[in-house]
Amino acid sequence: MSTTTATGHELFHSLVDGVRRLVAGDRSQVDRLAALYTEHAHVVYFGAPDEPLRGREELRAHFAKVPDRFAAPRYRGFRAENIQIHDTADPEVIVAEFAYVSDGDGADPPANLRCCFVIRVRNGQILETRDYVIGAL
Amino acid sequence: MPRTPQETFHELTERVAKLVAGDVDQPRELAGLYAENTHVSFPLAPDVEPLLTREALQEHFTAVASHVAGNITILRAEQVHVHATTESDLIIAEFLYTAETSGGTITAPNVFVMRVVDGEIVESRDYSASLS
Repeated sequence: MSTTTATGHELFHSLVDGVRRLVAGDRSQVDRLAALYTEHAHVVYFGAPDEPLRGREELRAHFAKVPDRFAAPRYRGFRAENIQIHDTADPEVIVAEFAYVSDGDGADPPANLRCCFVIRVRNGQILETRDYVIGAL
Repeated sequence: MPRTPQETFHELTERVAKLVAGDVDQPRELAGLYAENTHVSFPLAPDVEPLLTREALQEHFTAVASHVAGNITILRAEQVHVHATTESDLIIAEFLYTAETSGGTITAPNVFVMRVVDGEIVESRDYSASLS
């Protein structure tokens, strides 16, 4: 068993990959995603109406709602694209710019959500993220 | 010595505060913080075209001044946290604009990903959540 801890880059890629699978209906991702965060992780959204999330249990409940929230055909092919990750002078902090997009269903517009996440990582888990996003998916 | 990226960011927010306070010199002064050919985009406002020249920046700041005139009396950048990155010319600034209006105080969270070369902003992606 490996003893190396996940880096910020690895955690970010695990996060968006898990979200992609979860939106596609893979509910086994809920526990996997929640496990990326520390027990008392804090997630704050700027620009979205969502309330802040505190702790892994709130995150698990948040992720559990995702498959229903994104069940509409316009979310087909949901994924993160144009990912640029910046390392900061603080070894715990990375900043990820990216877009959540989807292929859509040909009728309703696909998702195109621009995001900038400021993520603090400690001991291979996400301790805090400040997520700057547009309001509507 | 040219301005550092950190100094450039702080000068930007100080001058924006003066702009909002009605200082008519600021659109030109603010535009002077940017390179002649620059790229300023607003990812959270996909309908807004990027600004590509110093002249376009000056027009932008002039428009901001007329837009806020009579609405916002005082604007402050608060909770400023500038992250240096492993690229020496790239900084990421998180901050909150707090605006005093006739209807009370409103706040807008921002994160600017900004590249500054020789004291001039050559690229900036301004993630500005709407005032609420």
